[in-house]
Amino acid sequence: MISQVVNGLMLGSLYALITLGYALVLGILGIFNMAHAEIFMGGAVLGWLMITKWHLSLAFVVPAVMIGGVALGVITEFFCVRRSVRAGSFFVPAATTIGFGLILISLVQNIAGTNPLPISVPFQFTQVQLGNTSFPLVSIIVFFTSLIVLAVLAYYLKGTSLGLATRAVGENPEVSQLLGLNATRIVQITFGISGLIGTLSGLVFGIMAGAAHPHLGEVAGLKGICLVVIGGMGSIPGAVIAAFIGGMAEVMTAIYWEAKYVDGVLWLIMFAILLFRPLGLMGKAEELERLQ
Amino acid sequence: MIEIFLTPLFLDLLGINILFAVSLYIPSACGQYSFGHCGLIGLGAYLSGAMTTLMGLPFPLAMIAGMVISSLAGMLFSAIGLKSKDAYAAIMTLALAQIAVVAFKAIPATGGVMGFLVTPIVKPFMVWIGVLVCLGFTYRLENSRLGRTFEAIKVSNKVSATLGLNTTYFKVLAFGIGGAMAGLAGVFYAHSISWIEPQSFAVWLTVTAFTYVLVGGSETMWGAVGGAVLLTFLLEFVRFATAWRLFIYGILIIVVLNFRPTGLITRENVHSVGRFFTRIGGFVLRRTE
Repeated sequence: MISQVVNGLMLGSLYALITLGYALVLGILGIFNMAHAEIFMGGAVLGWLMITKWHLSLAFVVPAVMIGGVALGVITEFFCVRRSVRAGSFFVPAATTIGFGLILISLVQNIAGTNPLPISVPFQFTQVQLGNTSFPLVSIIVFFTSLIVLAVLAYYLKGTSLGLATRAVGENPEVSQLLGLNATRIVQITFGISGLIGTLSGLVFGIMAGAAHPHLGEVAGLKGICLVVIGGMGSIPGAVIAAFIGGMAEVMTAIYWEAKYVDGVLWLIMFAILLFRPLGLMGKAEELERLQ
Repeated sequence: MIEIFLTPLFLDLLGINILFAVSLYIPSACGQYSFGHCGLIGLGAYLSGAMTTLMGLPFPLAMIAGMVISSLAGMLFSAIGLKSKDAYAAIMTLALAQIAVVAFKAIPATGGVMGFLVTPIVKPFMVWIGVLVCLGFTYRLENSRLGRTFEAIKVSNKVSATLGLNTTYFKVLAFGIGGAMAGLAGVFYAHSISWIEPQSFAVWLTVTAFTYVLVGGSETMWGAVGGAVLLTFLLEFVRFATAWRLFIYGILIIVVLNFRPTGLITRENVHSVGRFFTRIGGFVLRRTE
């Protein structure tokens, strides 16, 4: 039982990592970045490319994947968001980023094939003994990675002037521009950070699952949107709490119900949450106004 | 060349694509977008397929059941999403699509992940009767009081609410109508492709319909129809395009939305075609007098 709770926490920390990327762009800026799921997939595929194909050391792979994530995020912003966000409807950037996601999926499918792409690291099956139960080392790494990312992100948003500017642009782009902020540049930076978190979570997921797959984003990546909605729009603590609840719920479903229902559980939770609490767990009504 | 296009399967596919595009266009005419039409088309396909093949019920009954269940599912999920925000209706339909795929995989009677074989009952003429009826309905809808209401809500939610329209009611209604058409497309899909599996109804199927509507033009229903026809023919023409289908769709969506947000066929185009025919009609009338 204890080990299942710990498994739930580990999965929850992975989901927290996926969700943070969404929470930045969707929750703070109010822009739907549907390509984030595919950036997540791209992180896993980059991991496969560098670890399995090129046999690079992990000390090089992790920063390289993060830089790749920044690049993907900035490209998404430049081609899909900069022009279309002026249309005034949430749907236009959502559709263009879906288009970018399709391009990424198609590239991976045509270059690497549709089969699962194996990723293996030396410590893949290492178990760590804690008390009388043992846990995979990979899960513990995931847990601490997401804690570190969470702490850095929280400091960035609350403690630095750039984070303050990001929140101001999310609050009201026109007024923040009048006050001398370069809103375009700040949106670009936010997309870069979100892409970094996206590929990092993809890499971590790929190492944890042992394989990457072109359709990874569709199943695992899209859950980030669901968790942001459960947690409440614009609330990073809410998103993290939702991620841990979601991770626990999936593990419990796999044990007490059936493993084949696992992928639907989060969406059912979202259905129930929106039915009884339309703002999400920790959302505020004024945060919702950011979405067009 | 022409014989490729006249195969029954291609005609079926063209009709189904047009239906699917129009079913997505109807909520968008009311300012609502759905990421979950793949779930709606899947619900229609699975229910009707199970009814005709596994239970041996007559096809018309299965068709009506498929339309009703998709319509009800669309209305239920959009209504819950609309409790908080317009954009949430789109996310709720995404939830519908994901839950539907998981459910299709989990039901053993319909073959689980493998899918199952449906008796191919549908002939191309049946699909095209369905398409014509739906297009006629949508044409009448656009020019009716209800269609004008949808347009008012699309242009400004706040103003139409201030003028006393129950906007949530009309949005849910739009999802219901669109859902019924998506269900019909699913019924035809199941009974003409005759092999349905959960993976066919994955989230990215919606993107196909998005591309039809966005490339064709989202202002009138002729845009959705034109986009569906154009892209279906394009993919059939260009053989290498099958592998790079998603890539082409992605590029098309980005280019069209960035540089021609109205799509290829705008309302002005449709009106000018109308004026052209009016002019010809006037000319013919003068000659006969």
